[in-house]
Amino acid sequence: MKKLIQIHIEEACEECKLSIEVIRKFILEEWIKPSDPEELLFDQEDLARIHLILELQDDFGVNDEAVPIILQLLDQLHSLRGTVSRLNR
Amino acid sequence: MTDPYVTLGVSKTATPEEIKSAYKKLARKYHPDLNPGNKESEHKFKEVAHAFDLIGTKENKQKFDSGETDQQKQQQYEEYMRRGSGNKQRPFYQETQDGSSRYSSAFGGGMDDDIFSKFFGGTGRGRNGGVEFPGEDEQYQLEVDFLEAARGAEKVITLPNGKKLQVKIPAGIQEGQKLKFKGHGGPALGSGSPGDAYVSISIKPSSEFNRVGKDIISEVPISLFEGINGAEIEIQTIDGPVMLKIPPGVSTGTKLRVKDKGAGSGEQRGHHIVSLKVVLPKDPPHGLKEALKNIEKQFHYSPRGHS
Repeated sequence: MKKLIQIHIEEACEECKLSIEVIRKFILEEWIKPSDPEELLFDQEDLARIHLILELQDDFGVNDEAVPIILQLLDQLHSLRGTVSRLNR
Repeated sequence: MTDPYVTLGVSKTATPEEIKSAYKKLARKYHPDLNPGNKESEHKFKEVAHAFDLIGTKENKQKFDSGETDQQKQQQYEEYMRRGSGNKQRPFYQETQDGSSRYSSAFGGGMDDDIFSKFFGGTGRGRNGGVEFPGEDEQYQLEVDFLEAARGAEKVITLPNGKKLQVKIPAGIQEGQKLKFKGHGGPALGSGSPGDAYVSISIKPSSEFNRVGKDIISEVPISLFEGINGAEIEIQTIDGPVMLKIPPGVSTGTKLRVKDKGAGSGEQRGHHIVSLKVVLPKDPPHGLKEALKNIEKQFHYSPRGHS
């Protein structure tokens, strides 16, 4: 599922219809970690995560304090799902 | 073409706020990241999102109501719904997470220095990318006899899961002390290490002895004559009977120490402290009273200070 393409932060802004400041904030808060942090390149996973954060904020009314908690829980959930499916193999 | 009003469950006269609120409610319900793997939810979510796209703002609603919504938008939507999840423009977040993806396998990397590490007791991440959830520590209580605690013992306890645990109780163990059994706690998940079992010791009291730290205390009754003249009597220690020499002139409360007969072992061993108690006969025979009256005249003393 992981696409190998990476896009630059400016393209990411365009794709997500966001200002560069918002994405910078997401990075500073460590909500997203660009797949190439030095060149600020984003992969599919980063973009999906940005969309998820936006949906959490806009549709779910999640505030800035709760965003990292939900992301952490989702990460752990996905990690556990991965482990469980590996164990089932 | 689906009716966005029906999809969102609002009337045609609904205000933008009402529409937005209905949309949010449905979006929360059907969001694919909350319903991973549920295709129906995903489909519903897309429908709801599209419906909101059509009538979510005042301008769009007006356009839609007057039939001006451009055909392009509808086509885009239909195209979007037809396409499989493999090649659509943007996957939902959960679709990018397969357990080996960066975020879910890297949530240990600098991002978990917060409450979650506390929740999960130092959750780590395997070097190979798999999770390492250590098993939970488990607490047990074990009641031991007074003598077992003082002299040490070996016991076998059965854990709730049926596992048997050989417990070596060190001599001189204290009330409430915990013994740790590494790896005998809850099982680990993934490649983490299992938790530890902690056995907390409680000591049953003895009718014969008391403990203060490593010392064993016992109260030994003696007669008036033994108290005055001294004696050699047999007393009980945790190692069995020993002979104790009582010097002349002891009273109730006098303490005598028997070395190295306390709790513990080796150089760490405590002492046995004998606390004497002078016991007088309950119904002194007439002859004794008479005899003592005569002796008292000669050997009168006042234990309260002024003789």
